[in-house]
Amino acid sequence: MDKIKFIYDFCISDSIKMSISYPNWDAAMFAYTISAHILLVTLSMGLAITITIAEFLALKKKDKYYDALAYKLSKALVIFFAVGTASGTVMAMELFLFWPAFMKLVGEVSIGPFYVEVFSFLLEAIALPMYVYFWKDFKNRWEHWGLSIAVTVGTYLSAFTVTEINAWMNTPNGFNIPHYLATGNVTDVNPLAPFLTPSTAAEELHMSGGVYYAGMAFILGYFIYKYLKAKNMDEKMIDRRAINIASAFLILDIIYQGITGSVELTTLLAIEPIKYSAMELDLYPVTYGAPEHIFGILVNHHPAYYINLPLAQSLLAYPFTFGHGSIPGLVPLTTYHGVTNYSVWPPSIIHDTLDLMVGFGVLMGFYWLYVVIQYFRRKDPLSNKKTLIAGILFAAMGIFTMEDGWYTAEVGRVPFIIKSPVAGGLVVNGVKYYGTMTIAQAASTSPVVFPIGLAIIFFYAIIFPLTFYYAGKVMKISDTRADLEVGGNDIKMEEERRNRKLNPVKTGMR
Amino acid sequence: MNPLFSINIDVLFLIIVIASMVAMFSTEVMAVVPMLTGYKKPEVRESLLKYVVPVWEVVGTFFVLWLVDMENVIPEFMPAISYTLFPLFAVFIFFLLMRNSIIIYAEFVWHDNKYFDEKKLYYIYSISTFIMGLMALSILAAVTSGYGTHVNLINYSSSYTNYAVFYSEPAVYGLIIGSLILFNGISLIFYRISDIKTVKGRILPLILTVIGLIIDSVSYTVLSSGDKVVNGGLIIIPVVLTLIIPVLYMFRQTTYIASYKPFVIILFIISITFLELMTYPYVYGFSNMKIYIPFVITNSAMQHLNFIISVIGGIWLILMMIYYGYVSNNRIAKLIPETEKKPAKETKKTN
Repeated sequence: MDKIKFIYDFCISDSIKMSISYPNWDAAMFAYTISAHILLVTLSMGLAITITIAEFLALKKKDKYYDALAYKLSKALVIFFAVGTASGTVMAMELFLFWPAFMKLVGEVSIGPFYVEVFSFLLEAIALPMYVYFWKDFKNRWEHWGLSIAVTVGTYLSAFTVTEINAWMNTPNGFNIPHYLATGNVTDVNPLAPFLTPSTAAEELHMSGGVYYAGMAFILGYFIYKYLKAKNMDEKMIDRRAINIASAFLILDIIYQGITGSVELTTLLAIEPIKYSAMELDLYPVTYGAPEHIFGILVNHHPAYYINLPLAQSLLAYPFTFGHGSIPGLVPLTTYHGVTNYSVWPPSIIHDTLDLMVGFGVLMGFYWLYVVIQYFRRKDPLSNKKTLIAGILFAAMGIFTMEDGWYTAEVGRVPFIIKSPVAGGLVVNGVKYYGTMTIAQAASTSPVVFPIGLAIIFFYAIIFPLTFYYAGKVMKISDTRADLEVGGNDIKMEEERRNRKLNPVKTGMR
Repeated sequence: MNPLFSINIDVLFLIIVIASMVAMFSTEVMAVVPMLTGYKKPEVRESLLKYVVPVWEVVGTFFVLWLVDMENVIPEFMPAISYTLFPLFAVFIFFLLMRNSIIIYAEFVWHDNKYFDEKKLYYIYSISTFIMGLMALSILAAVTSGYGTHVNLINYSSSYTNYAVFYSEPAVYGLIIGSLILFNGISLIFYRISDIKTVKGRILPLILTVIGLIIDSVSYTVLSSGDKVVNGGLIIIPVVLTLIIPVLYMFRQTTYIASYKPFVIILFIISITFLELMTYPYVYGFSNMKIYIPFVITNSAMQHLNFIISVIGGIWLILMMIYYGYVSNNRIAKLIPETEKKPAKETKKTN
């Protein structure tokens, strides 16, 4: 131990150690870890639902190409699941090491969703090996398909329950928060409350669409690339089916995301007005005519360098009253006894990331609108090379937008890790609290987090490219003829089973 | 009153989760030596891969279940555990990732690669699993004994373990070496590598198991002696249950029971549960402060919720595992052992 300490002291100079702000370091490391981890998660979720749809279509349409697609993708899913498991374990450890005070409070109040998440994960973990490794052992193919549903449900429930915790961080409940703020003691615990906080519904709705969009965009981009490169007709047939599934899903999802995004912003306006105001660069409240600031930054706590769209924000927030309704402002929300507390303003960058997210969402919406119009004009847009190449670009945009949206939501909570349960903060013993726990209070300030952080950077820097390389390689070397043979056998097996069922052999009868 | 009579139900569930995780992972560690030494033999390879290839994912998930259940039941203690055992966990996770990646590559990607083939990849898998096993046993020894550990439940980040002190204790090596010998004894049965037709094949698993058990029992007793053990006599249960396996294997009529995988896993789970109960309610006995588990357990409201989720989730998990067993029955868990195949009689004359 002393030797390790000596090496550590020798390698990392005092000036470096002194210049580290450990809460910032912890936050940066965790942001880095999650942004990598959610890519694995979204892709796993996208793969799981694509496999379910593909196998369903294979059995329904008796189409071996869909079956071969499901078989091919299931191998990739195993890879992402395996790396995701290890990455999830790293994250769980990281939570304890980097955020001890936060995890202690979570353990005392809101661990319930995490605990349910583990069982969802187990559902996925037990169903997936059966689905993949015993693929050929199922005589009843619908039973096999049922396992893919278990995998899809397991992956979705895992994401759902983790989002419940996130919602709890935004609008905490389930314990006596004023008492906690005054004394630091946790009392009056209601462990069921964190399952449903005021922000849970809106967050869950938007999260579901967002992660599936990104996951499907991954798949779409990959299969378009493969489709354009493939020479083998069978391979093209499989790729085309994947493109069809992903496109249909994404068209429905982009509409869904537009609606749920709007619901999410309206919910924020009511229950997290500080975050909402920072996202929209609103300094003072208005009841009508709030403009939309397109991009721009805060200079001396005032917006600058933005494009003004008059009335737009009010109209979007209150379409049914033609823009008449209350829009909050940062200054009065963070002013107490005549003093404005600028330190509780979220970083203004979230305004730009929000604009990027919405802007890209609109652009993707236009792309899919074009595809739909072309489809109804019987032009088969998904055979057009230019449309497909644009599809790859929009797929990349979809993945970026999901990360961007997540960043906006999380950074919008800064400087708090757990916000106030009351919109605009609460007063306890004459002190105004804008949050329940700050990042600084939650973070570990032990010097050990620095080398751990370095190890985590190294871990993901190595493992992440390797994972995608692995998955790509597995898909690339997957033998199309063998996959199709499996697909053909599955369809045949199911038909034979159905025939047996319809025409049972009655032994003993003549 | 004996502390076991007032054990909290959530703590008991956590103990069973830990026992299940250790038991499942042990079956993988058991595959290490046969894989390194007998991979070239088709029957050994087939026996190992039939079990290991589908089960590695389930084992990985048990690690996550364990972590979250720890946070559930003893949230106050978790940061201290993380700080004291981080290096061991870090190595464990690194090789977990390595093992996961390698096994996928072996299965799906590199079959006839110029530099790596399946055999080399499974060797790397075995070595990774072996190192994970070493780390897991070290963690077990550290939590049980608390050698070299300094725990601070108020200022978590000042908790640490002096590994020079920890690894200078002979009992730590005893636990590791004893367990490895024991695993290798049981692996001959679990994977049916030992030929029951020969005397050596029948006796060798028993000898290895007995040697492993003796070293393990002594080491574990020493390691847990700082925990004010009041139920030390419970060690007899894991010893007897573990001995049942090689003894049953020696007789032709009961060989199939001994090598029936669910049977071995269940015996392991029960054995490890009793090993844990033996030291309850203390851990970290030789550290600066013994941790009294009821003192760090979560609040009563959360305990109620944990109980409900554990019951529902536990039943669900058991049902899924039964279904898993049902599906994989014809592949890995045959009730009747493979009999010698007699050469088929020629029914057609070749022209």
